[in-house]
Amino acid sequence: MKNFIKNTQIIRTNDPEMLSLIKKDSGYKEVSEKDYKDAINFKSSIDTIYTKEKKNNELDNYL
Amino acid sequence: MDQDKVYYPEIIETYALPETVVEEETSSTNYVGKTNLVPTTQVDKKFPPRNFARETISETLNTRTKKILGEFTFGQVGAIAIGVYENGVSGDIRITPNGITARDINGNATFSIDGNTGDAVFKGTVTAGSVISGSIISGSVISGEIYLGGANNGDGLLVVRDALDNDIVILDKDGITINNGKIELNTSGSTTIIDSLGLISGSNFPFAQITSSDTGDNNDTTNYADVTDMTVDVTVARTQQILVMARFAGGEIEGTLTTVPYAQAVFRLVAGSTQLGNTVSISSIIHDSGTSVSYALGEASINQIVTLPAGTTTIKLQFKSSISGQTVRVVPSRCELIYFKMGS
Repeated sequence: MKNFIKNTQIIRTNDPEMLSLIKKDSGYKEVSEKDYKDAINFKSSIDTIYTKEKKNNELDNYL
Repeated sequence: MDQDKVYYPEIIETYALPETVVEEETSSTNYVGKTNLVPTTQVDKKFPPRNFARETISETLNTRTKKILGEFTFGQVGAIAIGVYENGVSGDIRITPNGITARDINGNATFSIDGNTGDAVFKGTVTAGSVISGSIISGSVISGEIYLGGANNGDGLLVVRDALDNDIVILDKDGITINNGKIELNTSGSTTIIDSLGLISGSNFPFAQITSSDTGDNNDTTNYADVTDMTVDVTVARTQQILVMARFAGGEIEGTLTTVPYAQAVFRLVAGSTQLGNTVSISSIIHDSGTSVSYALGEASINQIVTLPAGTTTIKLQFKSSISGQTVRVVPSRCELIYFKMGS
């Protein structure tokens, strides 16, 4: 089970074919289970989560 | 002209037989009127030496070449013992009218064939190109391939019994029957169990849940527009049924105020270019804040089971305005599109 965000879209899936399609689309960003729940319950906006994940990725790449 | 054959007499010469005792002729003298018999005398005549046959060569047996050339039959108690059993040193094989037995150097029977019943027991591995059997009773059977039934053999049947002789698994031409048992499928990290109560699986069927919160604008009452971010490509390896669900909950319809005091949006699901089921209309309730007008949104859903062909099919949620001249923008608190593959 994996969670992704893209624009206003939040996707939760375990479908291998879907995951394969998502992998080819660089617009999707995988998010944690907590971020997924925050987004789905409007506790955090997708933009906020997207920005946070982007920073995390940049930090990971830097490290 | 043929010449006449000339036949000669066969001459048989006289040979003395070996070790033949030559009797001396009795002599008689003064035989005129009186017979004077003199006994024969044999002084220190030795018995002929005993000869032992070292080899036997006949039409049925040749001991020189160590070959049996003809058929032999055991007497009622006839037997052959090959080797001499000596504990820890050597085993033996015995062949009798009752069967054949073999022992290893520890005295354990390694194989036996019962000449009366035909039963055979082998301690080791029996390897055969093929086995034709009425029935097999075995502690274990290891084989590359096992065929049950077929031409000239009737319908195949495989029965697994428990220790109480109850038939638990029956495999025959009609399929698999399991009595008080189950089918358990194990893969890495996942187990699926099918029994008389149903199916339990740690491996969920593939699904995807797409959530969005904005439809975008559309003022067209004829042509549908795609709901923003509510398009998904679904791929199946073979023709397969999937459950597709769309749901809109809460939120509001924003729109230009027209002559009618309400707003209405129409939604539909499409797979490829085919609409799935019926459309649903969401009506609104007027909400006038004094500075703007919005229309509170109700809740609706579309649920469809659709058969997809092998390959990728685009499923999307679309909407349009149902009121002429009115632009609708649905902003639900939650807009969901879910597909669930009914199998994998």
